[in-house]
Amino acid sequence: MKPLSPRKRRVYLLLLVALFIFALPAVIFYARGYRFWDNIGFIKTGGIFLSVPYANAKVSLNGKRVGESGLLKRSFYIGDLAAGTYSVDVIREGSHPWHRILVVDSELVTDADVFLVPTPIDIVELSFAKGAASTTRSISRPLFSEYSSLFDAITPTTTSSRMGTLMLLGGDVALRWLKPDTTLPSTYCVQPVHCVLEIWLEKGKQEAIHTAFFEGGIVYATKEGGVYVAEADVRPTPLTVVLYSKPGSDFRIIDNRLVVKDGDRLYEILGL
Amino acid sequence: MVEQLTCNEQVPGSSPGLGSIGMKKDSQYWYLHIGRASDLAGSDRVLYRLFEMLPGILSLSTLGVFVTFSFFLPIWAAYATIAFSIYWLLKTCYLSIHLRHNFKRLRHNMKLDWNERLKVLHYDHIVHLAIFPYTDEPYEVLAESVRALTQATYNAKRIAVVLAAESRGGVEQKVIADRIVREFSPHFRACIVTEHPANLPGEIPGKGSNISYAAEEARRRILDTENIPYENVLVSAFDVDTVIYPQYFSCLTWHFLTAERPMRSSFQPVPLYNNNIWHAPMLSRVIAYSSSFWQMIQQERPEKLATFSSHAVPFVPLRGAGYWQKNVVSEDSRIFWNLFVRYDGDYEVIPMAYPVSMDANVGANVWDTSKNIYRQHRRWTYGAENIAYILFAFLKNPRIPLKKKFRAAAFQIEGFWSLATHPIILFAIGWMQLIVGGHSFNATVLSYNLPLIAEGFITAAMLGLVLSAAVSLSLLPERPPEYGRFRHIVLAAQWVLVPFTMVLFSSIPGLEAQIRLLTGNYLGFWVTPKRRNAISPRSAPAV
Repeated sequence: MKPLSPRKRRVYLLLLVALFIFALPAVIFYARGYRFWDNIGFIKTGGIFLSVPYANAKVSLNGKRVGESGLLKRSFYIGDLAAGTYSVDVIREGSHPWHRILVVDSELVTDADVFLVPTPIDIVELSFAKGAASTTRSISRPLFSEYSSLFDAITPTTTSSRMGTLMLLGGDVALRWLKPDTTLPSTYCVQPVHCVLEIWLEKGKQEAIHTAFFEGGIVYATKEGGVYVAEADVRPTPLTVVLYSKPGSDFRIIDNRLVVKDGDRLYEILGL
Repeated sequence: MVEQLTCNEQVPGSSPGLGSIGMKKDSQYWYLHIGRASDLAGSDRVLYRLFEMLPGILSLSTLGVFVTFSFFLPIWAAYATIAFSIYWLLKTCYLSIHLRHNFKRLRHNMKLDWNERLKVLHYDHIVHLAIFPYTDEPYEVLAESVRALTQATYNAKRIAVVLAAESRGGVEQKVIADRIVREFSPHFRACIVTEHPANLPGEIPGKGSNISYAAEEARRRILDTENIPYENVLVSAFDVDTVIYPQYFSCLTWHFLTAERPMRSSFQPVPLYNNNIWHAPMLSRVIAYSSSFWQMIQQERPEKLATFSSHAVPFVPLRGAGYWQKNVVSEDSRIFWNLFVRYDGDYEVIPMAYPVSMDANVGANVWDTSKNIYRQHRRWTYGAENIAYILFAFLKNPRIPLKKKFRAAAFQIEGFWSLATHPIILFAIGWMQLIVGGHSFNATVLSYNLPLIAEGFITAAMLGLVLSAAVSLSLLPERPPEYGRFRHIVLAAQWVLVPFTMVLFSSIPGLEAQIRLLTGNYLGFWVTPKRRNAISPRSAPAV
């Protein structure tokens, strides 16, 4: 039996080289988002990337089911989308529905972090009294006093995170991007190439007295309404949910817990 | 047709076996046994040094460019990753075709009755010189290798055995050699023990210096004593753990006698690492078969084949080239280039497509095995030292046709470059732009599609492993009774380790070898430890 003949080998080689030459540009164009659609021809597509850090959340695009998150599946990439506006909905039992209008540009991916707020809000009272009810959590008297005293302390009016700088400006709440030379998070961008440097969470309607970042959202308290949690996103329609609706109530983030003070009473908001 | 030869072909101006130390600069092939730049002086030294640095420069530049692009031109880095992954798939297809064909040929050749084929040829005059170099291997390893010669279907009285001991091996090795001679010498035409002195000038300790010394001793003590014409002698340079299959010498003799230019040809069997394959750990098995498969692929591309590990070479050209080089690590491949240069490009390797069996690398434990495999592969990939030799010798030898020079150099350079860089790019650096490419890159469809597409091509390429698994199962020797059928499943499943082994035991040692050459931190010869609890029945590979 003879070795593979040089002629055969040359034929194989030339075929594969030809395949490489043909495939490489085709694959690169495909990777960049070029697609061939009937009646339209070649178009440049974009995509949407959704981060869904919750299990059992159903994702739909323009009313069409895309999939459901699970223990391991915590993100969705929806590709092959023509440039345009898309309505994304995420629903999950026991949470407020999440809705966003996202603009897709060709060759770019618009991303969004899904932020789900439970409904109803789970609130427990913090108490130092013995034999408290099931809606109450016992803490020691010194700890109760310490928590209460934190509400008397003067809090800074600005605080920063990777989301930006959160500011309390004369009763209004704004999130600003103070590093204009760096790339903005997509929450500041109405569409991928059209961004703003400031997102207003509360402007003029009520008088905010305190605000802070908490678990991917922004919590703020107003004199008139109580305590709210909101998403900072310039794209419609960011979620705003009342956590504790009593005028005059305030909150603090203590040991990574959201503690609300109403008069002399303290509450903890759970499940965010 | 066998060409006419002079019996005393020898490197002009050299004494056989003296290496570069014995070369006179005014002789025609004074550069034949250069080991490294420090063997030269003046501009030649600078030039050789640059050639030594070339593989490292190429590989590190490739990886450096990739890393730089990942930071500053991530889109171009992504294109390159896609190109590499497509290239990888197509290359796998191309090589798989060669592997499959060689597997069929190997199976065919193992079933053939080579003695029957020899009947139509005049071959009684051929004498085989089988050299087994060893240092501190146990009796069992050496005895098994020599015993296999007695069990060959070839007349053992036409085989002369040389047990090439190292004097640094001590008295124990002498005792082992004497025992082997006592037990086996009656079978053979001759069986001698040579003892290579330590610390000879111009040598590095290793297989090359030992077998060169042994070959010259065998010439003096066997060929000259028994008046055996040199042109009738074929030398098989075996690794000490080489256990031949029964028809090895018949097959070799047939190839030698039917070769177009037998005195301008070396003969390469397929090294299978079957001796201890059932007892070797999974990692070791994958690496062993990967090495065998690469050799099988090369057997179908003879123009790219250089000798490797156990090989055979006619005595006349071997002596003419001054035997194996004594001052290099990779003497097995270097001897081909020595011969290629010595005979002005008129030299080739004939693939036998017939196996010899050797030991898979086995250490005391997994860690030990991993270290041994790493060191062994570093030694093999140190074959990059041949690039400097080839380029330098090609410059000095105007008689080699330019086309041959170009093809040989290009193939060697590309081979060592791709070995060191491609797996690292495909399985590590190629994905770097996703991490360091910045937000503007990460917001593109390209960045989201890159992992899906590249991964798709690489996964498809890995389907070639199915062929590898099938071939490896067919090449296995008979399953020892202590292992159940489940072991077969493990042997097939082991191929999932390949991406990992390619990076850790191919690319990284390859890169280290090239960096050593680049920085002048030269590698010495490292003898792979041979541990063997039991040998698999070699005569029954399931082909």
